[in-house]
Amino acid sequence: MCSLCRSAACLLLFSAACGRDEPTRRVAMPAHQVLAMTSDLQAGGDTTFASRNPFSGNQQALAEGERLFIWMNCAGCHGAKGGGAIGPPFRDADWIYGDDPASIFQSIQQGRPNGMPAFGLKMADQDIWRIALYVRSLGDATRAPPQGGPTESIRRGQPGGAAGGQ
Amino acid sequence: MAVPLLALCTLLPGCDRQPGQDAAVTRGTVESRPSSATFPTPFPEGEWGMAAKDYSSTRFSSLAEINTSNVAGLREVWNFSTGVLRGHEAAPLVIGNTMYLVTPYPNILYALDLAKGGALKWKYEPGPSRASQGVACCDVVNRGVAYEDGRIFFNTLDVHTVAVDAETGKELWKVKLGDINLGESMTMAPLVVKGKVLVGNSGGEFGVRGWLTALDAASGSIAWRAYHTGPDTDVLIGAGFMPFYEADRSPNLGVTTWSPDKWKLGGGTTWGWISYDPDLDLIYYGTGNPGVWNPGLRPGDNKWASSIFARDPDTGEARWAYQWTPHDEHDFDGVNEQILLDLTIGGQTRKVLVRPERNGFMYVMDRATGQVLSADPYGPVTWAKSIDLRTGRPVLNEEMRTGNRLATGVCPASPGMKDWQPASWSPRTRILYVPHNHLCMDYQGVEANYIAGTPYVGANVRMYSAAGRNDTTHRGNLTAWDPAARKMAWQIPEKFPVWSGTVATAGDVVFYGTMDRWFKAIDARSGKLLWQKQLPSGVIGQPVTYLGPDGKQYVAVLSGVGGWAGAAALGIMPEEDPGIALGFAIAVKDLPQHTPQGGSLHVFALP
Repeated sequence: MCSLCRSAACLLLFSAACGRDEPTRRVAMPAHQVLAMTSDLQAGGDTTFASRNPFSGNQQALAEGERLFIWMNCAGCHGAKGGGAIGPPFRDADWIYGDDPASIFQSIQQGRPNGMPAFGLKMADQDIWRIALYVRSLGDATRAPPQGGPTESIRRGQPGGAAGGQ
Repeated sequence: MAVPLLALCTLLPGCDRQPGQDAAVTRGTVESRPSSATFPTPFPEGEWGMAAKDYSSTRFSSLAEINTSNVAGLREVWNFSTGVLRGHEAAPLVIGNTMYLVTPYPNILYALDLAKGGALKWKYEPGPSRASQGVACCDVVNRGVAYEDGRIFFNTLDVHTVAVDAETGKELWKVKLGDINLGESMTMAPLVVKGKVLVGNSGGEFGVRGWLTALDAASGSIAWRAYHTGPDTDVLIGAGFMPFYEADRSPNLGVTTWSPDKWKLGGGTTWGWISYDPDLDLIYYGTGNPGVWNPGLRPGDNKWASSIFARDPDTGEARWAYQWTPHDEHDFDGVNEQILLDLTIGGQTRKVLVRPERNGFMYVMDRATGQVLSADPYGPVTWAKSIDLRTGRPVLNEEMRTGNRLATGVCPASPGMKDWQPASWSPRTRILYVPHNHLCMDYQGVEANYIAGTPYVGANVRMYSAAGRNDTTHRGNLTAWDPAARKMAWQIPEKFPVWSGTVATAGDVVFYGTMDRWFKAIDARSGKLLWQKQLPSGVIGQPVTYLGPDGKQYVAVLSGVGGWAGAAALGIMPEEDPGIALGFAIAVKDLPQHTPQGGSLHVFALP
């Protein structure tokens, strides 16, 4: 049974049984203790998931997030100030995959279909939260998206967009 | 005296069509001598069989029905929506009565029936990985398809080459040649030479190691692969390698001109144009910028990035090589087209190649030996004072060096005096028609961190018009250049960089497009504007001309702004973030006012 348990949730549910059968297989998962949730529905009544950024309001974390944004080459695709290029801009009101902290966290951790790489195995969650804090701070709810952006093509469901293609 | 094209055709591979199919050549007004490119084209004159028209890359058509006295009456006869947005850079091919075109990502291949007004015959969708959009530095473009022997060949953004049956659209083979997780992609149009499909990778902004690969046209298996950095065995440099300049003859320069192991991220990618000389049996093509834009991170000449190779097409063995820009400090990729001509120089006829090079110099080289015969600026150049013809090396202007310092007023800017957009040649006027940029920049090298699959750049760049930092009236040119006289004949300034291709015809008309949506016909001798039509979106495609099934001459071009130059029109915010798109977008931040995105083919003819 333990060989089937590849997720933290699964291990939590079956940890007692695993502990008796194969004590050496019990694994702590420090890199993924704080998981982001983008759904209001949680299975099993578990409340260890986060929906807000643990660094919310933390100026030092914001500065760290900016440093990491450059260092992890986020700037290379999104622009040093989030103006967009290969990847979409952050400085407007339009967020393709959601602007709540958990959605931004997941976009970075998991990657996204049209060319956003998955960073989750290469960065500690705390650093992803710091970057997410910085990215969220670039947004401007009063700024309409610039003409011709990727969100338009994705929303129209053209080939390659979230609604169409492969 | 005119040589019957049908007779020539039987001597050449690929010319196996029935006489009826060649009948189009004899209708209408066609100059029946071969194009004055050095060699006869392997396709009938009324077709457009490869992106560059012929192996010499002249982009010249002998069709003369449309000429200076009647082109003012040209009108659109049909159009076709590609169903895709982003930059449409391809050249449509016309083989027999079928037109073939490939779109930007997702690289849909369309076959259109010219006997039925462009009706769709079939389409083929290769389904490239959606994630490949994330490793395309300069928009998700594709520069066109190739044809030989009943097969269409093209590359997909996610590093596959595909062969499709030209009649039915059925996939024949599809091979994966690289990995997007290493930042690789593909955007170039293949070239088919002697049964081998020549294809190269993109990714010089992602620390990719560049290569040119030859695939067997029938099976797709790899015949040979030449890398552009690393040991001689990888670069296919062997006993037959005879570079013209002595300093280029040391062994393993692809390793020794780099700090240890930096050649593995060395760039030198292959996303531009290949030419072929069937007499010398050599292919010619250039390589991209060295990996990482900050030159301070890669001391040494960085061979063989920003170079040109002459290779044996059967084995890939290098015959000679020459580096346009040793230790490039400005992103001067060396991948532009090279036009093969016989020119009279110093009273002698020389077999040359003419290269409107990214770094701002118009090179004329002996294509047998690799000697630079002349190299003259074809616009404002400040990074170098000249090219020393004794050594072949640029004489640098020290103030313009980058590295971990800021250089201001560097001309040309990183897209060069000219980027990928190809020139054309008229044997009648002996003029090269060059679509290009009029830009300068400030450029500073900064720290860069290599993470596979993400950009590896390390430079802050701001571009602006060469006419002045705030100028928005003059950022591009259509220049008529006389390569024998080594000077400009005349020039048409344009508001935006002229990012489209050009075609020259025996009617003495030259066609080109602008990013602010104009498709233009000019007089090949005077440059006078004879006709223009505004299209739905900016024009960055390669115009072509051909004979339709009715014997009339047609001109076709894609509309759809994008590419590196068009990034500002693709939904980004350069005024808030001036460094984006590697500093290009801020230079053309007014572009969205002049064009939306689009994706359509437009075909024109006389009434």
